[in-house]
Amino acid sequence: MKKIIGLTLLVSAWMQPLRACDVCGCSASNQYLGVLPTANLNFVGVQYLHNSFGSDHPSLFEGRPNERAQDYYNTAQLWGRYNIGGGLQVFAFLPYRYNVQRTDTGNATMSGVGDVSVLANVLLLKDDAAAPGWQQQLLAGGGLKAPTGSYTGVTERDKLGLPNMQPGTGSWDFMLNANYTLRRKSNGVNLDASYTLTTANSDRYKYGNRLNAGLLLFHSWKKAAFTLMPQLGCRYEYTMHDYDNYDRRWLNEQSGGYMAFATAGIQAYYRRLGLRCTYQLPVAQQYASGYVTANNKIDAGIFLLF
Amino acid sequence: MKNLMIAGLGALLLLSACQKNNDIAPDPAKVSMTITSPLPGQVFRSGDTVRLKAMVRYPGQLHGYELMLTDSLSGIVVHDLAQHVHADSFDIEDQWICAASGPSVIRLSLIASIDHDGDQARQDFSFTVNPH
Repeated sequence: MKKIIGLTLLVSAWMQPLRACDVCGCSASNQYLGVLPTANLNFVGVQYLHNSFGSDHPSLFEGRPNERAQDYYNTAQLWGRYNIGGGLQVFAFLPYRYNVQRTDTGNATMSGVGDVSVLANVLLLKDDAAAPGWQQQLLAGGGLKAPTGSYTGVTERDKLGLPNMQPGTGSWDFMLNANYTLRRKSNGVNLDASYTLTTANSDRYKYGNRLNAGLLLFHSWKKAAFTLMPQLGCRYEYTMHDYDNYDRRWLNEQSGGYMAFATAGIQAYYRRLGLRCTYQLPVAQQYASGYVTANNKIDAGIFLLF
Repeated sequence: MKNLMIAGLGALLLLSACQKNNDIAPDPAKVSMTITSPLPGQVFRSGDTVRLKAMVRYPGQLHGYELMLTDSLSGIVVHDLAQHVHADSFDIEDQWICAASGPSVIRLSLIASIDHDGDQARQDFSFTVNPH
């Protein structure tokens, strides 16, 4: 009996593990703007974003344990806004990503500069801030995400769970977005939506198109040069399936899905300096055929208005 | 403005409406498996390194493979390589050091998974390991 147990343990040590599958489709780039500081000022800032996912996928092969993984996405991002004339706002984002995947059988870390994005928004509606009653602001526009980030390509082994772990996507993507704010005195509501149209990269892998929409209620307290703006709201993200091979239209049905979050955040301003921090709690989700569970998200940043 | 927003929403709905999947219907008979090493009935000695070399081809998308060596007598799996990979071909290269202390018949099983619903193709044969 002891021999059998010993032999089994020895054999188990020889067995090469099955690596986690790419069931996520939770590529880190999912940019949104939310409540923005004073429209007529430019700003530059740094931002940190963290989110994570757990996956538990039944093995393809009989008698093997489930494929389990925890993916952690960390992004430090330089971003800014520049006004051109009175009605055009240009946003730019330069992320640095540090992604970690932990599985029962080992860890994988991928880090590097991510994809640069540029957005141009037109100020379609802006009421005078000094006017009494309701004040509206509507921005809408589009942009481009260039494949500047590091993308190591898809080799037979590396494609296991890794397309979504890459700092870059290797693809040119197009973004559409709209951001609407309605204020009355110190209270307001912000609605924003962005849609990313992806294209296939050189490995023919195509990340799913993404919709990201949010609603935020906010209140601002002002005292001398200090402003505090707490926010509460919700956010919805919908990601379409990835294609493993877009030329051949091989749809990865175990990627994509929706997530809904309750959000709470705060923005603080002191003269030209701003801080913002947001926490997102998942309240409903159906992702990657239910094999992936999104955890809490957090982002925090500091910016300088000029 | 209203028309623009309606057109925008319409465009987004169209873009999100459906996603084409051109993968073929699963057919295990169309999976081609070629194992070039070891060969059926080949005889090794304990301590030998057995090169494991195989190719899997399929006209559609495969979802993974498993290459398993099982001691026929005890039923114990002595080597197992499994990969969850989405591709239409696998070139598998691995090795196993024969560790049997007595004469053993080792069954090699190569399994290719065509989808996540249990459709698989497989090939099995045996080779022998004799004590040194």
